[in-house]
Amino acid sequence: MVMRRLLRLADRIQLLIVLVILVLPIAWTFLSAFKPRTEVAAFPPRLFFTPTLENFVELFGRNDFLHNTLNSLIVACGSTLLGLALGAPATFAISWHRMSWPATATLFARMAPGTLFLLPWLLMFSAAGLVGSHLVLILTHAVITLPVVIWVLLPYFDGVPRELVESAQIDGARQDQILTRVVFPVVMPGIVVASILSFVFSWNYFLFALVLSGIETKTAIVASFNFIGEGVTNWGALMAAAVVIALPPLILTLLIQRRLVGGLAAGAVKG
Amino acid sequence: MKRRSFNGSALAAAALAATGRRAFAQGQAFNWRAHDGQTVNLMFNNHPWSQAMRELAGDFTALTGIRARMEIFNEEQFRARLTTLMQGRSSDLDAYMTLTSREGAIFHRAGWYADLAPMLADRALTAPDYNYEDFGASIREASTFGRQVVAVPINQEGPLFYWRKDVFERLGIAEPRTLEDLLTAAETIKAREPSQGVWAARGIRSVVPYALAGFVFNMGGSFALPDGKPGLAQPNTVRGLELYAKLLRDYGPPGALNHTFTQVTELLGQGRIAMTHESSNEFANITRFPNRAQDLGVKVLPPGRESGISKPVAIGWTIAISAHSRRQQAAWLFLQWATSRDVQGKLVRAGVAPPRASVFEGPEFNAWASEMPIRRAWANALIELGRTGTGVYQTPTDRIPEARDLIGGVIQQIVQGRATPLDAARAADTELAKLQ
Repeated sequence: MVMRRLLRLADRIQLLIVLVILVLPIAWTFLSAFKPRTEVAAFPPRLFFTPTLENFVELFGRNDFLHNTLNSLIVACGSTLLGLALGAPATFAISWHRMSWPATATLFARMAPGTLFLLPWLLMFSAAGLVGSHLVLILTHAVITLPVVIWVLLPYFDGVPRELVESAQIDGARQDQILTRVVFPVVMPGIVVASILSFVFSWNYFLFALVLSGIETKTAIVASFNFIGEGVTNWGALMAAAVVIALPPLILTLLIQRRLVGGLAAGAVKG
Repeated sequence: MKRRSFNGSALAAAALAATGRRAFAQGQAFNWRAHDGQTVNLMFNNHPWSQAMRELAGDFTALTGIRARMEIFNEEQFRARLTTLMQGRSSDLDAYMTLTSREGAIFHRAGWYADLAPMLADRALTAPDYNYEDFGASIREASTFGRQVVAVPINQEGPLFYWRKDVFERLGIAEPRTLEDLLTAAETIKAREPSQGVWAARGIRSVVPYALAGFVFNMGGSFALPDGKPGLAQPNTVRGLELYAKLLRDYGPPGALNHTFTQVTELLGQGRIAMTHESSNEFANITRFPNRAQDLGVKVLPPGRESGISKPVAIGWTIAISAHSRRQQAAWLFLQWATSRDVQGKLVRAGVAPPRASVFEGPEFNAWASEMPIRRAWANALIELGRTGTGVYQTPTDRIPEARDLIGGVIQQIVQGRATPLDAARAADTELAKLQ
């Protein structure tokens, strides 16, 4: 009995330690966003302070951060949709024909450092007159979203009974009907998970937008770095930017967290 | 209501244009509107100058009719984007900030700078009152390679010694007059007031030389031998390296080797350290913290006790036109306007030290400096930087960033106790020789 209580206490202590490590930086960032810029790095940190919105005024008033956030939204949604449009049918084919090499090839593209692509892309897209457009960012971010879609969806497609597809074929369904009316509804939880993960990875990706975006298409993550500089560092505005950037992925994750956990575990054990 | 607001804006724009034209009255014959309707794309490092430029850009458009589109990035990202665009020979970029003392030789060899000399010499392209000679000779030389003028100066800066006068007074420590006094003061503060942090300075290897060089020079050392070969192992240079490392190791904050100006400025601003050697650019940022404008002292790093030498680092950012730009003449108008006497006078209030002698000695700058004793001290320190400073603080090489990285690595090794100052310096000399 005592042993069981001790174990339960140990569990709680472990959970508390993990919570502190995970939550403390987020709480610190959130609180700092509402502190005057000279108090952000005060030591010891002040838990009780008069909150101010001056950092958000700096963010949205003096800087065009709302526009940057909209750019991020366009790029993340666009590249997620592109990743799904290309990745979902491709994954079905990979799964159906049991070919692993196309999936591995996309993984190699994802594992390669982003700098490898930058200069060729810059030359290529400059020649096409696309540098600085949303389209170039959506296309390049597909390098991030496509492997995510394929590798997340693969166990879901593997789990679709072949008989289900064969029955639809016997019933006379066309290939596109089989995919959209039979297979996709079955793998919908996977599509949701793949969409969220693709969105988050694209939303947070920095390098391609740094070089290939233009003044009008700069994303929020790139713009947030502008608050650091010799003689002009503004921690308060940076913390406010971090809060704004963290919000969409956080909200999305909270909305579908049950499905996300289930989805991530899908295919882990095959029976 | 909308109409009234529009009229108000129009009136304001007209007034602004009139003011701009008046300011350039001397150059009335000069056609500022030769490229009316064009747009120039500019890329700047995040710096007090570029932030101030953003506020003033409307004046430029009112004067010339040219729209200035500015991109401002943190220095690391700025360099990453700039070099990629230039390697890609992008014609999208028209003008950019550049630290010619650092990357000038490499950029010049790569052909990334447009030559400004023909534009400066052309009366149709350069306003008669521009007065390029108003920039000091050494400042102009730093941006001249052979006969090519690659950039025009926008500021001057260098590391300065900041100290908490109130802490020194409280503990009965005299203002440091020599470099060695810094160590004595550090020992006293640590012994008498253990709760007060003592010292902080740059510890990240690539940025260490900027703050370190004054220690080396003032000790009578140098980064090169008389024949130009690497000379970190010279006795006086080693003494400078040792003192910088000792202050960082024995009196610096935890994690000092991961610090750069961002951490150092916060520590000083928060009152958590009593001394530092940090950029003059940080002055406006530091004095924004409560009480710092009243209790800080600022001056160039004191001279070495035995050597009597005071040789600070003095550099300046410049602005260049891209060799690949298709709007070079419109960009040249921006450069002229941004580095004009009138605009530099306005930038003083943003904490940008002007590189033009006439502005530095002018009534606006003096009036601003006279408002607070610390501003006067900062201004005096900058005058001294301009008089005695050097922009060369590594062994002779074109591969300056790599050389500075190696020199910074010496400090890291000493602080971590991985090598004695002499051994670390000798090892670095071998590596530095490979860059020559």
